[in-house]
Amino acid sequence: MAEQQKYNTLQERIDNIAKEAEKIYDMKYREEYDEQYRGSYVVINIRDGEASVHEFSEQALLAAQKKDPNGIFHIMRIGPSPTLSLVR
Amino acid sequence: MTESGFHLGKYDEKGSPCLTMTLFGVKNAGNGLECTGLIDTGFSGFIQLPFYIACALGAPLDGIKSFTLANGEPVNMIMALVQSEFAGKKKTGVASISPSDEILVGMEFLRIFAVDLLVSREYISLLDEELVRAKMKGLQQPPPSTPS
Repeated sequence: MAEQQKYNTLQERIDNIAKEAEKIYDMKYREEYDEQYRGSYVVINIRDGEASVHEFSEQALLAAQKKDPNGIFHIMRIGPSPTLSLVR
Repeated sequence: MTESGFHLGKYDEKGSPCLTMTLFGVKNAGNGLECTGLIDTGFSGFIQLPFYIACALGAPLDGIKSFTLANGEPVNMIMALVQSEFAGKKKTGVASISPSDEILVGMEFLRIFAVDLLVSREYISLLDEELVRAKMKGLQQPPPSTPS
């Protein structure tokens, strides 16, 4: 019940998964990856905290799926602003 | 229309550049679903799919993808690996599932299908990169000789 009140919309749940992934990235990978893989894509598996990196987003995701076919993934671009740009 | 490295897009009724592709999901892995998407050069991703199209495809959900909008606002969307057929090629990319009603085709689509976009007043054309590269090489002028 408390869980339902905390995340009462789908978007809030989605944002929460992204926040968890970013927390894992900050704690385990940011220092090294921001330096070494700037501009590439990182996929974080929320289930086990594993990271997969590739120059292309689909390749990073395919690599992550290969490691854990049941994973829950979060993808972002590595760099000072670890994101993709989107105009809508 | 596709002819020797030349693929035609179109303008929609609002005058926006579009292309038609076939998308494949779990539900229609055989024939696919023909869709027309708006070409958005400000969108760095592969394809943005409305939720109802993702459902119609049976797109396998893989997790979350984070974006930053042009105004700096961060956005998180559900993502799915989808197969798309265009220009006689079938490729896989990361689609973002959106609550909007529009299909967007982004810059990653052009990279994955190795096509260059040519926009003119009448036509939207997508040209195979190899074709453009070969033509550009042919057009390159030799450097001017310096008088001795």
